[in-house]
Amino acid sequence: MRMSWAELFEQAPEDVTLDEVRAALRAHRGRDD
Amino acid sequence: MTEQPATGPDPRRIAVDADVFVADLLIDGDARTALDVLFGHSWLTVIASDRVIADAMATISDIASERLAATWHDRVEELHQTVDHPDGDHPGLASARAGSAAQLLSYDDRLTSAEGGTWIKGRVELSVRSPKAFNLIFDPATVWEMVGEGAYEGPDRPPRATS
Repeated sequence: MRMSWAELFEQAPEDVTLDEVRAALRAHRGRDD
Repeated sequence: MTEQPATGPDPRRIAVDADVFVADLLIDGDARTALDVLFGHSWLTVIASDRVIADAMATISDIASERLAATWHDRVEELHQTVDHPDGDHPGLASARAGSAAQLLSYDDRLTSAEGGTWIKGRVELSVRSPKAFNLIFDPATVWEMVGEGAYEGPDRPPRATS
């Protein structure tokens, strides 16, 4: 059965920061600035 | 440089960059507020290329897990329109351009800064905003007045928290 959005949000790890997200995406896209 | 789309930007079409999708899932806050508004209205279209979705999945995998990324992918597939664009362009910007979007939501400060805005303005008619800025200025009722018929009746899809 497909997971609901509410369940999906609950699966997210705690304390993720926007800086962490931006850095991970930059690294994935090959930017190191 | 790629060609301009045949049609101009459409206020109902909003492109979303990978970092906003990831922040929506992993952080909540401004990104989730913005996407709740977009996903809550069937007449608003979220635009993202396969590259944007793949970037979001890779970032979710890095920070959380591949399983969570795959599950997120299953859910987000039904809520966005896919566009194609050439490799090499900024995926969020290229998605907006290919999808005739009037706005792009992104946390990329190369695009959201004053300098970035000037750079973009010379190439496409597009407003690039962080989710926080988008939430401050975007009013679905105002867009509905431009494109819809009759009175604006609010969101016509159930909230994601209940779906």
